[in-house]
Amino acid sequence: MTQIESKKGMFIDTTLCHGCKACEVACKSWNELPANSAPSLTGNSYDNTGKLDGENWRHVKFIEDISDDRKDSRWLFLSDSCKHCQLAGCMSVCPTNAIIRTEFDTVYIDHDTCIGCKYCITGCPFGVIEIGHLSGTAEKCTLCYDRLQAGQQPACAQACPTDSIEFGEVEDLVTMAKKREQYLQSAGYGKAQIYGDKNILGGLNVFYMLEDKPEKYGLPSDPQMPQKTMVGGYWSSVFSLFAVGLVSLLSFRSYRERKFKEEEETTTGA
Amino acid sequence: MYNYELTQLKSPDFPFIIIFDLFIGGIAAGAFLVAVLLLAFGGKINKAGLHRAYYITMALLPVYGLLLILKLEQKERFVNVMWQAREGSLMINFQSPMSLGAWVLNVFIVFAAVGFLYALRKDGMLQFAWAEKLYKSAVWLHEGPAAKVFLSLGAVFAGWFAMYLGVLVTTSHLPAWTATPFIPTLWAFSAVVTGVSVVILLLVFTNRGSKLDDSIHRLDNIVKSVIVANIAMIIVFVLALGQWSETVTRGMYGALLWGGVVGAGLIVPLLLKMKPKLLGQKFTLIFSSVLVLVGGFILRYVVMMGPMSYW
Ligand code: SF4
Ligand code: SF4
Repeated sequence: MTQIESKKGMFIDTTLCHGCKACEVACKSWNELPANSAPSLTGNSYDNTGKLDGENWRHVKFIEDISDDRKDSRWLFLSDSCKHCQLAGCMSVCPTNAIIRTEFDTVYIDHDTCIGCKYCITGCPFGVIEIGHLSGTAEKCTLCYDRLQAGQQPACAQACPTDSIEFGEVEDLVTMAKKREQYLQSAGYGKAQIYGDKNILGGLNVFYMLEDKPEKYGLPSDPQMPQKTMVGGYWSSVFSLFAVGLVSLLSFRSYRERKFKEEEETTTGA
Repeated sequence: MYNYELTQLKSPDFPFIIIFDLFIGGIAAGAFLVAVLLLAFGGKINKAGLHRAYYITMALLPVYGLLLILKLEQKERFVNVMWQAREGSLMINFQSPMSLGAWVLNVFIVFAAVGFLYALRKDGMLQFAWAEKLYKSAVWLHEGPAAKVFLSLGAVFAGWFAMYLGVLVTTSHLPAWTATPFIPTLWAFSAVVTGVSVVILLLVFTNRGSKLDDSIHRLDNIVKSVIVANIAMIIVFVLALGQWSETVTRGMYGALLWGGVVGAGLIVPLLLKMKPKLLGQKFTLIFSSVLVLVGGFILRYVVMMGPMSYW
């Protein structure tokens, strides 16, 4: 088991993001991820990356938020990636322990161990992981593990021109985020809120300042571990085993008794 | 609705091969489960041929294992599920039904192997002198004083094996899979109807004279009852899905579920079994068993692919 040396993370202030995608480019470049096939237009947004996947470990979501009467409109941006959760669903279901916690308290996929079973894809409540086309293993943001080991900050944080992505010790980042939340609320952004404090999966090492409710950004308001339904599954299994065993034995017995009765009647009749 | 109003969950897009895997695993487990239960608790009446269910389990488990490996992206690393090279230790993750399932499969293989040896001894086939002790142990485990305990344990592992892929999908974030805890129940009922149907087919084709008639009809009686339970369970499952029922009832999936599984795969065989004189006893047994198998396969297709394609 890895000894946690420090707790590194990122505070992503979406109110500062202007959607330049420098972080996306820096991520692709540093991690040598293949370019997206061109032209890759989603057709429903100026956001043409679409989603996180094996080749896109960072994705700047463009949220074109238009009121129902179409009089008001605004753009929201969120630089999305793996959240390096304290309670990581992906890690909890992995059957090979290929997903590990590093000395920086981040969540990392060991590509030499991963068998590509895809179970972690269903374990992440944020839809972060996918199988890489080239590697054939699960892929996601590593929080630039190699850079952290060399004492550098992640490529995306370094590239961000507005300091929307702040890298550092999680504790310091949380203090910074709380101050920012207070400031935004006093400046009239009443719905401004931190997403990823202790109440979300025990705390997200990569957490956000949102301008609106999480759902607006496609984030679940109360994400859970995949095991939330596991116990129910096991109980129903126990019930099924008894039920199916009982039904089988009873039908077997009832057939036998019926047969005996028939045989007895035949014997008596004869 | 704009995409981002929805949470961006992802489907694992498990390959189609998983349907064959589930189907074959279900038959192997169902056949074994019913055989051990009847051998242990079926009373003192004629159980001729029941041990042949073990041949089915033993023949299908390697196929199951192979398919399980084939569905991995990194097939050559399948051993990582059991051995953790990084730490140099056994690999087991109690929170992961996939990890536990791999061990359940290993234990189940041991039970299946013992059953297989017992069946060989009963039929006097492949009797190697060097394996005499093994055959004797298998017979002792089946007929000795601890038989009930051994067979009950076998039943637990067969049941667990039949259902672990149900618990596996229940332990996820894909809405339709997590909306109800009943997928393992569906797999259990379906494993028994399909497994016993294959045993019936085997007995019908290996029945010399009419020695096995009684066993065949008793097994057929089990299939009839479990078909009724299976239909009820499918209805409960769809109702329990609530807003996600659409994932298995819309378009082609709905047609396959109601027409293919419930209609052709369960109700028609049940009716045929209730009126065996209509098509002749033997033909009815064969035809209805085949229909049950087709229905069991489609059930797995609908429950796995419907929710994955929806998301
Ligand atoms: S965001 Fe998803 S992939 Fe990242 S640590 Fe959390 S559960 Fe795992
Ligand atoms: S795909 Fe790899 S990382 Fe994901 S659960 Fe399977 S073995 Fe673990």
